[in-house]
Amino acid sequence: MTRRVQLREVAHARAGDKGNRSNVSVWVFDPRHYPAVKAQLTAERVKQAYPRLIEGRVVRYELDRLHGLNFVMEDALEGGVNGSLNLDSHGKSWSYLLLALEVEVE
Amino acid sequence: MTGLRIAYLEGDDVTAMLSKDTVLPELGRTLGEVALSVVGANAYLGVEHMLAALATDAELIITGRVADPSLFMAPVVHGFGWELDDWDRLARGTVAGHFLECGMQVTGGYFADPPFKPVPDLAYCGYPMAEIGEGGEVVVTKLPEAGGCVNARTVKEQLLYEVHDPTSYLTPDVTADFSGARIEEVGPDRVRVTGIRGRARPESLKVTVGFDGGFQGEAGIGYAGPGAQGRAELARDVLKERITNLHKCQGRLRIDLIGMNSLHATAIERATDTQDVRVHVAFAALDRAEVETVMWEVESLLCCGPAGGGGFRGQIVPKVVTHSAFLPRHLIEARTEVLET
Repeated sequence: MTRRVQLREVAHARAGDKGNRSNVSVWVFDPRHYPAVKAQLTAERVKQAYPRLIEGRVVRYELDRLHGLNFVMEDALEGGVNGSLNLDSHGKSWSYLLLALEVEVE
Repeated sequence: MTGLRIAYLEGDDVTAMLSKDTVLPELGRTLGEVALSVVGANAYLGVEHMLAALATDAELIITGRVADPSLFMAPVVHGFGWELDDWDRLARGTVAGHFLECGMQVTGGYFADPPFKPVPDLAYCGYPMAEIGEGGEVVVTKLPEAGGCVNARTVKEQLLYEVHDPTSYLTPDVTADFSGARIEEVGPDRVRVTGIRGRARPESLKVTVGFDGGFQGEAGIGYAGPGAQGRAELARDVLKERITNLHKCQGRLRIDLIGMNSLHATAIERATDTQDVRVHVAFAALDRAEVETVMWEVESLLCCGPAGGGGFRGQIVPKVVTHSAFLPRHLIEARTEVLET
């Protein structure tokens, strides 16, 4: 029996920035959910979810032992911390863009 | 205070070493090709540059720009006498520095998300400590009486904070590989991190080049009660018309409607039933007079804009824009001097 949930219910995340590049690491709370999240939360999925924000490519790094995924999003900070006119010029809140996505889990 | 010996470290200021051929990789252009005036450039120094200062009898060391984890690792290398090509140990010291460099981000700061991620006593969140063994064993912890928490989740989030490829975290000291990390809770607010490996350090040092970016003005005005969203949208449209078409301002303009959508406005459309909206205007230009014009336009909404607008606040600040460059490390000479007060 699967259920569809916001990622925030089954995982936590943190955003960081370097220049115009944002990284968001995503970690499942329960290792049982890791295979499902890994299968569904692909780099393509993230890129397609926010096409206007993420202008460059998205690369996903997998930390299977720690049950985590690291998404590196290029040209995704509206110019970066010194160039962006967004109040959140670091993209600190980008973690919640990913946690807002839905996944199906057991 | 007299008799205080202070060592200071110079050599990070590499402004004089830039040339028109210096490449700015993020822009894919050289310094000569970008029409920006340089304010200054600083290289990120590392452990090797700080060791001379640690070898003096100074009670206080002041450095220029150093890489964040290096600042924590330098005393460890000095104390244990680690070799500067002992890559595994240096990588372990680096991960410890990486956990400490953002302070409370590993003890529950930047973390709490009730009800999923509770943090006890966040208001009095304590600073982290790292216990580092001679072989590079790392335990992250905090004082028991301090607020916050150290657990596998806080440590995982910080492990990859501002990290891209976890197999190659580059610092002036080492290329650290976090990919094999093991993270274990070994006691209350005690997390042991093992499995960190290292490879040779990069041959180049990263340099942050600062450019004169002119001025940035930010201003806001709020609308509340029935119809607040419509009035805020009208205010936004009036501002865009006057700033762009009447005054023909050349700078970059962004207008957010806080309460409806702001931080994520580029990413998503968001429906809301809020009755409390703040129009937030950000405007950047080289010409300060143009920024002042925009600030006046926002303030003028008090009398000339939609009904019920209030709470104008605005300010203008100078803006420095930064881009990265790289210099071969052998070109950079650190110098240590000791002063006595």
